[in-house]
Amino acid sequence: MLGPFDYAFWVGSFLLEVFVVVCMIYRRVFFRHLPVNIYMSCMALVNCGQYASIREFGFYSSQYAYFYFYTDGLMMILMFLVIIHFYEQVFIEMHVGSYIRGAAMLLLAATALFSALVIHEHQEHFTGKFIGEFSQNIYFVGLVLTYLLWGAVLKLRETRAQLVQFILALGIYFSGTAGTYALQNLFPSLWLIVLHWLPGVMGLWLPAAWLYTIAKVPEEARLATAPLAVGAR
Amino acid sequence: MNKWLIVAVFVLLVLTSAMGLKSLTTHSTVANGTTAAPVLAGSGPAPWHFPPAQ
Repeated sequence: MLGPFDYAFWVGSFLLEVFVVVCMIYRRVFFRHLPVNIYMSCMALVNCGQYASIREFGFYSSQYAYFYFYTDGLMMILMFLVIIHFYEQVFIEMHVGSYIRGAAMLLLAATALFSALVIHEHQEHFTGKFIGEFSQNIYFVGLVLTYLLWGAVLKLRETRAQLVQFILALGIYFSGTAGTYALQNLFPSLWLIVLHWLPGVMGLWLPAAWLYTIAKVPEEARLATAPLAVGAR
Repeated sequence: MNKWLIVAVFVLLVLTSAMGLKSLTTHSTVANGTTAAPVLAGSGPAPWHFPPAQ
């Protein structure tokens, strides 16, 4: 049964996702960060679909479970495209866009193949299991890509404040979710007490951080290079 | 050609790192069906198990 906190996280993340898109339109950077806007818009639509599904079939119905995880798989693919968009932005001066897009397509195909190989013996409900396995795997690929992007931002001494904050927020989101998995496996009893709130918090964090970045950080803002980063070179 | 070789090595590196990270943080795959599927990109309330019991 859903409690008031579940609804609060849900409605809160929906509103923040809508505000991100509205704010991008208002700032006239909608097309500059198109993958981010597509992701946020689709996420808001998925939230509406989830609400309709729960209302029609109930929270414990298999219809809702299928809707939830199928759309989650699609959202992970969109999130993957958002990460690739940030890669293109960071490496924009190197003119390696075609290589980045090629690597992204290879990664997507390899992850799908790997997921299919893992579950190839499970002929029953193959599609459902494939979606679940693929979502997990593409999530961890995204996590590694985000960490590598963090490294690239530091190494290349990226100074565009807006871009850096977008990437940092994404890294915290992925790290928080991966940490939740790890804690869930180490301490299963903590899941019901505290851990089941964390995905909701992370769902709020990402649109909130991106909204703050768009609303408060001017596009021309530049970061002063950290002395530690300079010293490490 | 050399650049595409680097791309291929990068892809392999990311894939193997991702699977290593996955094995560290989740001790099972969805395929064995013993644990709830994780909540990934979704922000709505997550069902407990996937695929749902038939």
